Amino acid sequence: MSARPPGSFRDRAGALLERPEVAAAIGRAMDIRARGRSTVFSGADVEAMRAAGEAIRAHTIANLPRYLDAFAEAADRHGTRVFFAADASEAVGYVREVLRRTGSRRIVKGKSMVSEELGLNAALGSDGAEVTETDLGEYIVQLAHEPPAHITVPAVHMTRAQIRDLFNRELGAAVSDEPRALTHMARRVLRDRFLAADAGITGVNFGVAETGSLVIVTNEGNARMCTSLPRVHIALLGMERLVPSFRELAVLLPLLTGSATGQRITAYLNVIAGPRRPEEPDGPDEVHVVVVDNGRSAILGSEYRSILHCIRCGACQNVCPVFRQVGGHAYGGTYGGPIGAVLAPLLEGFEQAGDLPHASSLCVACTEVCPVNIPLHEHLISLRRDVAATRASAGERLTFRLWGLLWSRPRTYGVTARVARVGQRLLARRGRIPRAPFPLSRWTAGRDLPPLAREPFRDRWRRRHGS
Amino acid sequence: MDRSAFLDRVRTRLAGTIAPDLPGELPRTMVSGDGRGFDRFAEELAALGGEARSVSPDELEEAVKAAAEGCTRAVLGADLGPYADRVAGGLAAAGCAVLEPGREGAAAADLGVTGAVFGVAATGSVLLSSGPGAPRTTGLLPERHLAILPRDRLLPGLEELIGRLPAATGSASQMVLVTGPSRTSDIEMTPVLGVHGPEHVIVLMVGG
Amino acid sequence: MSHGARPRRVSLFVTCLVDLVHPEIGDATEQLLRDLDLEVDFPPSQTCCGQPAYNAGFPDQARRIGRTLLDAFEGSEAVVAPSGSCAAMVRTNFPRLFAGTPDEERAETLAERVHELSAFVVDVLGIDHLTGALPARATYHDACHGLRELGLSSQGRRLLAGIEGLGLVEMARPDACCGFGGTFSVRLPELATAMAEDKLRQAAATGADVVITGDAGCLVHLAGLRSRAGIGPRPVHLAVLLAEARGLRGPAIRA
Repeated sequence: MSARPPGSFRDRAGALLERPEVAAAIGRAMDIRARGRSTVFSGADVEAMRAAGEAIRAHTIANLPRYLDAFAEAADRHGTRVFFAADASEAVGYVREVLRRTGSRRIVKGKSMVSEELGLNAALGSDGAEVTETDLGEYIVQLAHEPPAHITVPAVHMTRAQIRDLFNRELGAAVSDEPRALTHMARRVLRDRFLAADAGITGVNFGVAETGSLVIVTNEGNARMCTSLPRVHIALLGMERLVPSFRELAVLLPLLTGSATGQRITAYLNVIAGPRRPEEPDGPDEVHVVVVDNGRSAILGSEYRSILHCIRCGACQNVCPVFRQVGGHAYGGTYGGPIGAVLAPLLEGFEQAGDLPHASSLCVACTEVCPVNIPLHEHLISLRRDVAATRASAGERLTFRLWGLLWSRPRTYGVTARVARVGQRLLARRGRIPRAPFPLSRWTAGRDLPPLAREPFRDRWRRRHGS
Repeated sequence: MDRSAFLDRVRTRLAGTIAPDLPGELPRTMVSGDGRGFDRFAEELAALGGEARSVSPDELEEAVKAAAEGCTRAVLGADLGPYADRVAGGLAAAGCAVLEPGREGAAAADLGVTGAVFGVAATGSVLLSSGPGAPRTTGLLPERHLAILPRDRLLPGLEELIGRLPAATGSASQMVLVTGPSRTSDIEMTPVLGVHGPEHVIVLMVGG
Repeated sequence: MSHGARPRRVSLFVTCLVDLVHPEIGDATEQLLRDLDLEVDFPPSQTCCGQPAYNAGFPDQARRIGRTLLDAFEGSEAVVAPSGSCAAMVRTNFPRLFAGTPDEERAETLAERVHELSAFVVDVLGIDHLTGALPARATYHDACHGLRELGLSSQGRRLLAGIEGLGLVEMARPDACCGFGGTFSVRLPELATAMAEDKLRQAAATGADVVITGDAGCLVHLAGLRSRAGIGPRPVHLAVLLAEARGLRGPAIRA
């Protein structure tokens, strides 16, 4: 598991809020993404697509052992070596061993959230391997020594000027801040890395159980490079990312690309079925698939199972008003936004990420766009319950108990209101409360509180109509 | 972990889960076919910054010459079938030298010419397949990619293509569906073409 | 939406926030409903839907409090709340919250009978158009739970369309959360405040005098930042604006 930065979500978010350019950059990007999504699905029955997507994912996850087994069998038939990794250390260990055995030192990497989850780059770096991220956004954040800030737009939080300064500093270049110039600068650097690489490591969007094929979508073409040029290709596959057969992709692919980037289809859709055949002139001599559990199987038997239906489109991040203010770094782990707020506590435990389910105003925008109808906001509420059961402070527990006791009867409800009305006389200034004791002090630090009305509605009603 | 232990763990955790059936019929999507053939194909590809032309076999040589304009070194796939001679003729007419295919040749070339197993009208895509004489690098490394698509290989939508993938996947270790130029919007969401793959994609659909 | 015969009598579910902080919203709701020829009652044993406890992860306490509504509205044919959030709590969450408890059936019954005010007027009563007059430039904030759990969006705007003199100008993202989120506003105050600021700046950019919303939670949050930071138009509840425009209550907004 990659190490979590210290501090709470609130601390990290607070630090990011101090940099208004972050929210501005993310906001602009997210608006484009949200518009793209609504445009791309406008000509289709998106609700029918989502329902089908949900059914396909639910079916697959409920039958996962069967499909994993079929995938491994089929992959084996065309020479793909499949390794089942129970956890991060097994997965990393296997990758290291393959690289060692094949003498691979120069590694090019395609986008893989699983590799972030495994902390793979750091592990390989400590072995002396030279690991280069090749998705442009990933390359930028790697140069900046940062984790990705968004699933599909890793450098979403950075401006062109920051990226120019970074390139000029790290690559010894003198390039303008034009996105085209910056992109082509990266193209030149990365082209040499691709041609010199010993091994390519990529993620996988879908594994096809029927044929043992790997399906990878990209727009830049880096996955084509990573899987075509080096002698060795290692693919990291979250164990839940299977489809029974190609057929289901007819719905899942457009759901993925439409939700992720507002595209009808990506520039490249790679379908990989093993190492190169003897008669083929190029392609890797070895193809490995590492099927990663790393905490996923523990979710299978729980009420959160549907979180494993996720196809990592990032749409929930694009519409999340909390994510919009601070980006993925505030969440402190691999997955940010609503998907991260659900997944991280489940994969990493409440000790590590128990505060994330509260990193949501429960506005339901995430659930509304999820291409496979995961009830994200309901999972957040349930997780808050589970976290509270073991980790709520005594004060919080007492507050809610007391509140439940007093407000479960109209008479005691009335008493609390009367007491509060008396108490607020000390606090109210010209019809507002500018400062209040804890925990309401957290509200009044940035906003005024309204005082309770002198006469509540129920008293007005009684006065007007009797009881 | 060995496979059976891994799967046993998954099976144990899933115990008692009721599995819904796969949906019998899948809904149409925005990449389903609409009955329009090449016109749709050309529209979609143009919208992405690529270009497509429909030509007769007799027009092919001239069309290849036009597509190769400005290029000096080309690599050719061996998957051009009956059109190989006309493509070679077009390149010669454009003054474009033909390099040995493979990594070195493709890295030095500014034009890669490939065949296409299928085309998809609804998306403007072509399916490339690795195979004997058809290195993956031909359509990948040069800045310009010219694909020759036989007319009878144009399919209406993504569903039809996907229906043909299982059969095609048996023989080739890699297939790639190419839809327009390589692109990114990773810097301030500004679209830029030509990141790692070709910046220019031209498809010539050939048929009687 | 449970259609059928138009109800003659409705029960007010005023919500705790309206009862204790903004009773004028309750008055306005009552005035509007009476003006539409309905008999209105107010079962006084209601307290709160329990949403804050539910969302904070204390469903036991939420059930305890929510039960006051099951009791209060036992005999009610139609229940109307001037809040999309509280109505959604009952409509969509109560069946889940009380599932497997002795109150399951009562919760399902109440869930079907509870309506947010604008949805009740437009979808249940079938009134698409309200006359009235109020000279103001306004913008509309879609409260999250009404929008996404009850599917409300056009109802409030349709009712406003008939108000003479009222110009409605949409902001850039009317459907973006204002940052209230119940306990969220206290747990992550800096974020909540940043979200409210974003909302008020959008509203200000329309040049509106008032920002209309159907939920007292959003109203309290936006008003709290406005009075502190001095940005954006004045937040006003839909019911209050409609009641004033129809001459059912004294001028407060137009002043």
